[in-house]
Amino acid sequence: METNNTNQPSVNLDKLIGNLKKEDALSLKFSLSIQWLMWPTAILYLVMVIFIFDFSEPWYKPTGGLMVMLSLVIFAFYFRNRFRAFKMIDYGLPTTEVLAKAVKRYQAFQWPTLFLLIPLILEDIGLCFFSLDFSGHSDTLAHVIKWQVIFFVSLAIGFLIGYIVWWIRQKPLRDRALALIKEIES
Amino acid sequence: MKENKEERFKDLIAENGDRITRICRYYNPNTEDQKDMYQEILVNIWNSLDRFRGESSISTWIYRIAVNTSLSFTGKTFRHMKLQIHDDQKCLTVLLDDDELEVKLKQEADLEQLQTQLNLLSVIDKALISLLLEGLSMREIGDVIGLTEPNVKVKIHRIKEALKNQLNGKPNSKF
Repeated sequence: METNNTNQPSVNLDKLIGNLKKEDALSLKFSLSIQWLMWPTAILYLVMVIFIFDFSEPWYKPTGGLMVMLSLVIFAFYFRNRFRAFKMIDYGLPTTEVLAKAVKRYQAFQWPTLFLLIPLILEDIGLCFFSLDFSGHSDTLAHVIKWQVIFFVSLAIGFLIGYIVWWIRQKPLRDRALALIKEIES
Repeated sequence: MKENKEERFKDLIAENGDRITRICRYYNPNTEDQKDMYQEILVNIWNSLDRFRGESSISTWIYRIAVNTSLSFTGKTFRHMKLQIHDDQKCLTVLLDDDELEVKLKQEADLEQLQTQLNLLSVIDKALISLLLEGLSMREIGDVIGLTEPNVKVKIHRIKEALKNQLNGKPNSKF
């Protein structure tokens, strides 16, 4: 069906619907693939640790690996939910509600983000364990300290890059939504 | 379920295509931008269709999507969005309701002058005017924007007063 009404823009509706359905299918696939990739991998790793564990290996090696795996699973679900939130913007709500949701969505810092501290801490400890070799107390301590410095500096750089990206791409959208809300309420 | 969605979507567009077209024409001076916005509105209708539970009328819902899309349309910065009034707009007199005002202007000069003044309005005022020109009641406009009916009445009244002052050549603190 094509909207060939001389007053309406010419849009091939069937083609558009086809593309929209493909996009819906891709979004669903992406969402499911996160689940189907992470859970079996995590379970497989757990099975390997239990049944193939070499008892001569220090305990902290597989423990570190498990913690890293768990942190990756948590990250994957967090980003899948963020992706879904952005995809499911409902333009059918009243304008004031759409704008209020946009302001919340494009906030730099959101309280639920604190939840990410859990996988971050798991990853920090896990990677530290995984790379550790208890050859001596002073070496261990130096290794842990060195690892923490590398980890936190990398984290700080990551946060800085994320903040700059937010400032350039999302802050203008948030500011615009705030200005529109202010105007509506004036 | 997917077949139902497709059928619902096609029926919606068939019934409301003209509404969407007019909204696109209000905000975009050229046909390419109108087409882009029209398509973006269709995409947003598709994405929001599963969440529509009939809390509002279909027309209100469509107007919400059209207005919200126009406000977030990436093709234009909202400051430069122009409100386009076309020659076949018959309900412009709803904006000129003062009998004492000399309104014996030729239609072309009226439209041009009015369009100039309308383009000086803020984005939200433009959205309100576009819905008023669509023939929506104050309550319906409130449903679309998310304001109470009295609030909409006050805003529309202020806009009309500002337009009247501008057309009369009186200075207006709004601008």
